Formats: sequence, structure tokens, C-alpha cells
Amino acid sequence: MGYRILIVDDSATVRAMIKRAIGAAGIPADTILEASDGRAGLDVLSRERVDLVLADLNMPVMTGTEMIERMMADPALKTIPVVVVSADPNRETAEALRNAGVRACLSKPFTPEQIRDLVGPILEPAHAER
Amino acid sequence: MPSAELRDLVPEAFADALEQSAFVTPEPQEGGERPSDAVLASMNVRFGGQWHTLELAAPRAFGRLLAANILAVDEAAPEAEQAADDALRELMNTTCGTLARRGREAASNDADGPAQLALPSVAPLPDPAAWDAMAADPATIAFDAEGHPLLIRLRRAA
Repeated sequence: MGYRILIVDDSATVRAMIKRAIGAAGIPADTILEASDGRAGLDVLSRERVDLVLADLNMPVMTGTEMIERMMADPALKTIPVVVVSADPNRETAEALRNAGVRACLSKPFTPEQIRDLVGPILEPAHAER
Repeated sequence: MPSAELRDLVPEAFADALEQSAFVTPEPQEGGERPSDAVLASMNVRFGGQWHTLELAAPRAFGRLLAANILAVDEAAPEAEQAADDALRELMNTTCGTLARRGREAASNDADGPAQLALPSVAPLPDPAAWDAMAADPATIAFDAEGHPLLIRLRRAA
């Protein structure tokens, strides 16, 4: 059984780019879910089983940071691994996100290999626990 | 870091963002023909305690080229047309992020605090004179990207 991955980014082009990178990286995903902002991401998480969230930060309606804070405060969601894929240039942001429970941060632009190297080790243990 | 030094980082940050996200290599050029259907993509970035605006003027077809390359579809495909503005906004987002990251790496200290990125926007360039005025600005850098003339500049936000 493949993984269920949620991509949260306000750009449909970036969501398509990440989907393509996941495929090119050979990550076995059988369902890719999409949301265009943090609020829509939380809505998907309330309805669907998700193995991994790939989230942008700089989004309208609800930022990725707020979505992640709400996930970490929710016992049902806090164990879902989150990887931030963002153009945010600040080391402080990455440190704060890791302290908040984010598993990894990837800077845009990214390559499929970077997605594979970050996401692969995170998903394998998650899959084994299921 | 003074604005002039940050401006010096723009060409490389733009070229890297374009090459890595859309597989297009821009070449510096002098001038270039004014397109009939230009758009202006812009994004504000706060760096060094000051808001700056990064602007990119380009033919609308350049957005279709970006979208087609990112989505792996033909430039004439409806998906490329629909995603053209979105692809331009993301190019601005990635360029501003790269610019601010490199600016912070080059700066001697972080006294001015973290950089901030606003949301990018794309709108039709109001008239041909706007293209000519931007091309004549000494702060503007001109590129050619697969036959598309591009103008890019960074300036202090009003």
C-alpha cells in the first residue's frame, strides 16, 4: 500500500511540481491530496488519513505556520510528520519550526532528489508503524 | 546590507530560480523588443530593515513557457495558459526567497532581523510607455529567456 501525502501550497503550479518530484523520486504514493492554504489543509486532515504533510508557509487565508501550530496542538494530528517546502529565507524560522515539531525544511527551488532524501527516511518508519 | 549590494545579487538569484524551477536559462541582453502583451509581476521583500519591491516585466507568453515547463505540457495546452500567472508568481516568490537568503549570508550581521516575504502579484503592464520607462531605468537588468525579453529590477518600496 502506498503513502497518502497532503500538499499544502497556494500555488497550483507548485503543487503540480511537488507531485512530479514525488513521482520522479520514486516515493510510493498512492494518494496525493491537495489544499491551497492552511485552513483548507486542516479541513483535509479532519477528513482523511494522511501519512505526510508537505506545507508552504507564505499563504493567504491561513499561513503554514498557523496550520502547523494547530496540528501540533491537536493530539489526533500532532504525530503526522510535516515537511516545510518554502521560499522563507530565515534560519530562525527553520529552527522555530523544528522546535515546534516540523521534521524537515526544504528551500525552494528544490530538486526531486532533495524531496527523496528528506521524505524517504521520514516515511519509512511511519509506514512500518501502520 | 545596503540596497545597492542587495541589487547586485538579483541577476544570479533570478537566474538560479528560473533554471531550477522551470529549466530556463536567461541570458543577459541589451534592450530587447517591447512585447505587445506584457505583464508585470511584483513582490515585496523586507530585508535589512527596509521593504523592497522586485519587479519583473515579461511577455504573457513567458508565463506560459514557465507553466508548460513546470507542468510538462505543451506551451499551447490550456493548462499552460491557465497556470501562466501562477507560474510567474511562484518565480517571484522563489527569486525573492533566494535573494533574501543570499543577502543574509553575505551580510556581516543579522542586526536588522529576519527577512519577510509578502505575497506576489501579476497584472497587465498598463501601457507600452511603462515597458520603455522600466527598460530605461539604470537599475533594470534585461534578459532574454528563450526568445522572450525580460526586465527585472529591485527598488525600495514606496
